[in-house]
Amino acid sequence: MHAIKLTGRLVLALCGGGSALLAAIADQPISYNERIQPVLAENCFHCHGPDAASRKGHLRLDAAAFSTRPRDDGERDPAMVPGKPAESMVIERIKSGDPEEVMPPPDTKKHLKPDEIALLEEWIRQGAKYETHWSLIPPVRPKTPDSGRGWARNPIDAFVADRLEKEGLRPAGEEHAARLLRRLTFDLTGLPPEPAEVEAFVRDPSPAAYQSAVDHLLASDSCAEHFARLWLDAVRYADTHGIHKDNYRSIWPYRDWVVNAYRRNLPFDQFTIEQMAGDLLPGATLDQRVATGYNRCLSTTNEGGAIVEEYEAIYAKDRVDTLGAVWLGLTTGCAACHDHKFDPFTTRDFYSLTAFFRNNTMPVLDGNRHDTPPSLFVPALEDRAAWERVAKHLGMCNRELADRKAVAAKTFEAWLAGAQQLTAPPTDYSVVHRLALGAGPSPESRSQISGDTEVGPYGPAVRIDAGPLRAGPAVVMRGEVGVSVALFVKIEAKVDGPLLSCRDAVGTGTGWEVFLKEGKIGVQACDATGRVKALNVGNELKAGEWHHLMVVLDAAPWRFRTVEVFVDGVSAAGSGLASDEPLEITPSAPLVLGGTSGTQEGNPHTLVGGRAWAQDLRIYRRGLPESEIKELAGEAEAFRALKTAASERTEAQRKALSDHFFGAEDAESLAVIGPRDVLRREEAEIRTRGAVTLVMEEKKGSQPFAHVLTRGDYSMKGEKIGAETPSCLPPMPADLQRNRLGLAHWLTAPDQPLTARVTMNRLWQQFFGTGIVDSTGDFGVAGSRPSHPQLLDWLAVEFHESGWDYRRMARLMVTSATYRQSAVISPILLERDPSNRLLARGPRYRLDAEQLRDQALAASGLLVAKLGGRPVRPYQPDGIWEDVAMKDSTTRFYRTDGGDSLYRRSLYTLWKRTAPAPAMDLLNAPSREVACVRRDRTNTPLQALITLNDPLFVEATRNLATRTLTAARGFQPRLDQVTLRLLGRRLDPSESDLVRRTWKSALGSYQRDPAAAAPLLHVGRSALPTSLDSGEVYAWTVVASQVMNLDESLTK
Amino acid sequence: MSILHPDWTESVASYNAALTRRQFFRRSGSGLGAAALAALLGKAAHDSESAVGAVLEEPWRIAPKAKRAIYISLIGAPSQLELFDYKPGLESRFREDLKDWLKGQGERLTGMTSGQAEFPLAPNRFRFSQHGQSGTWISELLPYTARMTDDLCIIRSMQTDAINHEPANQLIYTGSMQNGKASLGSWLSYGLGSLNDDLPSFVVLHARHSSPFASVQAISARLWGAGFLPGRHSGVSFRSSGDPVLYLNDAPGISRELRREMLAGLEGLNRRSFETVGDPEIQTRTQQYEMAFRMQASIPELADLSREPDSTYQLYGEEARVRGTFASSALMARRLVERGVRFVQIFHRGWDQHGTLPRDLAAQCKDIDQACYGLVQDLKQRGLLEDTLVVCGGEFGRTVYCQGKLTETDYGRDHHPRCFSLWLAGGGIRGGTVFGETDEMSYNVVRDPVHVRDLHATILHLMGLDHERLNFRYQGLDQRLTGVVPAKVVKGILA
Repeated sequence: MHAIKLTGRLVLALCGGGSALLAAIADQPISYNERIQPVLAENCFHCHGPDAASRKGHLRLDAAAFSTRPRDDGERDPAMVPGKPAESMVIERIKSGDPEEVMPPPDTKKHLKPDEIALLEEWIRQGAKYETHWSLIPPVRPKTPDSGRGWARNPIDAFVADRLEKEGLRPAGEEHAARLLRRLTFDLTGLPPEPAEVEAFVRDPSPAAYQSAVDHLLASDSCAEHFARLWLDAVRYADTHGIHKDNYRSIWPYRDWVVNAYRRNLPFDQFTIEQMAGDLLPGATLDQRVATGYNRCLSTTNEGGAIVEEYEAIYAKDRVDTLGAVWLGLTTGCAACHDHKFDPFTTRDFYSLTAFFRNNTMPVLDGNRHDTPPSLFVPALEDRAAWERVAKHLGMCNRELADRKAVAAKTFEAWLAGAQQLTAPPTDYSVVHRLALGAGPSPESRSQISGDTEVGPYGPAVRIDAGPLRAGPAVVMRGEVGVSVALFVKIEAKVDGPLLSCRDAVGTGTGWEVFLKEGKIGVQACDATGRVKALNVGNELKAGEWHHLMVVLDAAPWRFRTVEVFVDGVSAAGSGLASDEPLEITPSAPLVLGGTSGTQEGNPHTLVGGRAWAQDLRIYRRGLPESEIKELAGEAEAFRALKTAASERTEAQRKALSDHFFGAEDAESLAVIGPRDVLRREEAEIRTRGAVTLVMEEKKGSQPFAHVLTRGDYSMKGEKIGAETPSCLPPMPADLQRNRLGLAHWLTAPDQPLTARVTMNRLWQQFFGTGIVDSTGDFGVAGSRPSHPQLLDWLAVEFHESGWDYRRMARLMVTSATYRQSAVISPILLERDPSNRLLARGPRYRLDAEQLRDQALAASGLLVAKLGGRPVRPYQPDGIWEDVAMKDSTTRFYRTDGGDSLYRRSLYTLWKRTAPAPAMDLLNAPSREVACVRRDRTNTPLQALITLNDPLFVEATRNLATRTLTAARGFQPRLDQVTLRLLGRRLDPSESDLVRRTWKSALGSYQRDPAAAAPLLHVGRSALPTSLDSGEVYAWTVVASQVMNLDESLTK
Repeated sequence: MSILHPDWTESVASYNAALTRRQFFRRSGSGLGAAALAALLGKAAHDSESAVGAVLEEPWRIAPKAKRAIYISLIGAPSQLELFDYKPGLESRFREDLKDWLKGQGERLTGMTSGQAEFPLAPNRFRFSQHGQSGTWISELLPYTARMTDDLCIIRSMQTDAINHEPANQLIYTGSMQNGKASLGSWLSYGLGSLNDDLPSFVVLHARHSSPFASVQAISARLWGAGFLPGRHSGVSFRSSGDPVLYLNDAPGISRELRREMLAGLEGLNRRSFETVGDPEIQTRTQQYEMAFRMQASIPELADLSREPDSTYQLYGEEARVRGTFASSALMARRLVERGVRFVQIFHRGWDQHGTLPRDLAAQCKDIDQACYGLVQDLKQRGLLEDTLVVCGGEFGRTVYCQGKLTETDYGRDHHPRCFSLWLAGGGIRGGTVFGETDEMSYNVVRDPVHVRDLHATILHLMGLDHERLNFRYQGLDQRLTGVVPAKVVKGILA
């Protein structure tokens, strides 16, 4: 009965429908992968697929082993009988008219179309031959088709032509030279070509001209920056933590590493290995460790109530999702809770992948720090050699000092036997100002000192509660130079008031101050904007004892706090956390002890509540590291030790005394300390210029493991498992370690079917707008099929065999005839292939957000082509950050940079995850919160407002106008200047006429009311040349804006 | 071309998309005109989802009760105990240590209180009284809200999965604690399309809190982002300072007339480009520039509250005259929905009272109380309330025990995911009702629990969307706002 029905259906379809499909299935083998799997995946796998938990009726349809044999409950017939669709239960159920019986069940709201049922029947008739999912079969180099002769320039074209021939289509002709060069330049560098380059290229019709343009562009730094930006989308790079306070995070050296990797054309396997596991490479270099910042790009939290296990699970999932999207093209996320619905990827696979990333020393809570450990100090490139030399020489000095200590033990004992007091403080040649505050009036303290002295570490000390005492010049704090202020203090009771102050009494109170509040030590710092304020009260200062106090003001990037007070070598109070912006505190008031320069309402002007003394105030022109602060603090201990009977001295006290002797009294040691201090100062300077970057570090003494979490719930820990790669992929060789390094090697192993395909697909997408597989991050069963499967395999094999040469593959793609096609679309082709999957024309689509901004900068001559460095803050409307930020976030206030930083490539703009730069955001830049391997590309009115009105674009058009006015005379030559820069071509006369009309209107507009029009000329911070006619500048600014807003300008 | 050409090896999703497109082309003519029209409707060139979606009758559409919605998001999570969930009888248990009782609850505690030595019960210290025909108990902190009790449906049995702000906000505003999902408003925009030509369909307003003591939680663009949905569905923030919409004002020195002429030239140039290249995206571009031009006229008119009569300010409160206040945001929300904006979300921060709750909660309530009342009454007077849904609430509840020091007059409360209160009004909502019930401690739901995903299912239902069918294929899955765990429409609150 069924058989008759089937035949009838087929005959009917063949005669009546004339469908190419049914004609085809009558005489061609049906490919499971291409035809059947999509139907089953869409309609059946949800309940009859790999996921055991949601499987119904013990039935699996995703492999022959399950569908063509009796089911595991043993009772029922197989769902499919190969060769006999009529006897196959699956067909019967699909065709059933009974709502109780029919599959898929009506409540799923899914049903198979007649064509699909016919296909399924025919496939079963042909033997129900299953195939491994296409992307899991390692690619083999396919034979290059013999197609596209006379057109094809390389094998890519042969594959494309082959498909076009089958479709009955012909490739388009070559794109006009100028447009082609513009497309190429944007695709390879993210920037427009220079007019001279266009002119030269258009004039030179030789085939070598294009090749040499490609080579020249590929070798440029701009190219590295452009490629890096796309990679940073994929690995979700940003400059803030992302969750809750969303504080600044210092990881930009990793971003620069990526840029450099593209500059060097680092082979992709090495690129993978160093990022994933550079720290595990034998003898890992600084750069290789910086590369592991890849593992730190994820969003992290420090929210007060956050539960550590919960976030551990979230981070693990995020890391595996990113690995899945970027290297494997597998959507792994769903397997966190249940076996994958479509792909043979189990929950166990998921958790064994997470294990690779769990054995590290990164705390789950980021501490809101910019330098959440593990982190690394990275000297600036130009300091690398000096850094190594200083480290080496410092080591030598320290060894010498240690040696001296060893041989001079007796000298020390002799001194100790006779020592009555510490005669002098330790020498430090980096001290720039010192006030002994000993007996007798010193010039700064004038006559304020009362006779009421007290013996301090170095003899009689000065009383400071009797009124403010001038102690030195204003201590300024700037980003480039750290400052430290140290002194010894003693209080006799709970004292209130300013202890050490350098703060203006008027205005915003710019400056800093260390104060006591009920005996507790506190610090306060304010910059001139009044926005950056720090006020922090720490622990009590113990009365009746001498303490060592150190204030460090240092905005060096490696510092955790920019203002910090240490008591006896231990951090006691400090500013908020470091942000990426250097604080600048420039008080005009001098440094004062025991009071402030002026009165502040409500606060005591001087110390009250008890007596206080101070001694040995010194100012260093560098921010001292904690180790050195501890050294100095040891003096207070030494002082106490001297007053203790020799027999009762503790080990710590003996050490303090020894440190004092060799640091301050022993002439031979002092001879080494001199040069050592010079080195320390140099080290501090290098630190100021360098940066900290987050890196990855393996936990020692333990092996990676994870627990399977039931339904993804962190609190429901299941089986404990080790690190392992997914079972559906070629196994990890036994000799590879089960850690990140092993994983990285496995990712780039020759038999790995996905990495090369996924990477080449992404590169293809970069040039053609859509990948050969358009679901860029999903090569699984539910993802799209490749439009050109053989081409993708050919590229993957070529990539791998070329030694993972990324640049070579980019060159291959952009030199293909396919890429060089004209983008002109005929109405017929548009109807036939609206999204250009068949590649019968060249790519044409809107530029990315960054490209649009960078184009404006480049065309106007504003672009500052500096490579790398800390993130910059160009113009941004007020309030974008404040609207979403927490009160004490280090990224609450946006302070626009000055100078060159306004005009850097968009790649360097500081990326705050919870509030990305609005112009980027509206133009579809991702938020960088999760991996993004494919950007959305919308076309909205809000985008028009950006390119018309965003001050950066306005400033750029004005600069393009002034540039044009200087470079050429007369309307047409000037217009050529503008359009050559933005469109790479000259306008034809009818187009020029339209622009001329706008130009005249604008000129008229200015002349009618110059005062109303003039503000246009003053947008932005760049200078306006005074030599030019303002009306002309105005009119040409409007013209430049018109051209910049043409679809042709916004599109590649 | 055959629909299923042998070499057309795309996924089923693409087949379906292709089919939809083809049906659309057939219906509205053929050839380039149709393609260009599709583009004009907002379809991006590389957008595999069909923009036609919003125009065609989609399978997820059902009969709507409301055409538009306003969601008032109280970020930081207001305490249900002081506002809507009246628990008389707890006064006598002041300071009772709940430590042992809590152990029996099996509830995880946040890192902020898990280390507390004791968990003293902190009774609400504000007076409640009954209001409206329904006799609903409302706190003295919300005198205006109390006056509209009969318009409101108060859900006392809301539940969430998250115990901290970030994940809880993500869950309630995007349906998932994970990053990268689409927000409620973007789903509405995607599922329903736009009601107007010159405003976005989803607008976000940031209302300032007035108290300097307010404990402020961070929010981020992901709460109103489009996630995996096409970017045009993401919420557009209207700003409370500067241009209401970013870069809305023309550059200084450019007159309206000159802009018009410049755009006319732009149109002409783009048309020539289109004639040469044939890409319909060029036409779309021109259209978007035209729409931007119209927005430049319509939005300032919209944002100009100065022409509102005094009666409006009597209704919303005088602070509605000050830009950026909650009251002015509420008024703006009304003006937006009046002009066809589909979904307006007002974010008001500062509701995280871990300490000094009595002082700070009172200040927060004062910010919003009258304006919420004003908004609902205003909508009603204009006949808009019957097809406008209004929702107001936070992301979770707060604990009955005190966080920090408990005194007769002062206390704080920690995060509590197991129950919280929220109100709805307007289109399709049964006013004058209280739904759900908690135990005597306002700790567990004892009747009619409403999970966040049930709230989502209900909001979608009211707006005419079937939450099980409203989906978007992404990463191999049919993504839904309500996710994979079954969600139900809360029938008990429907009119």
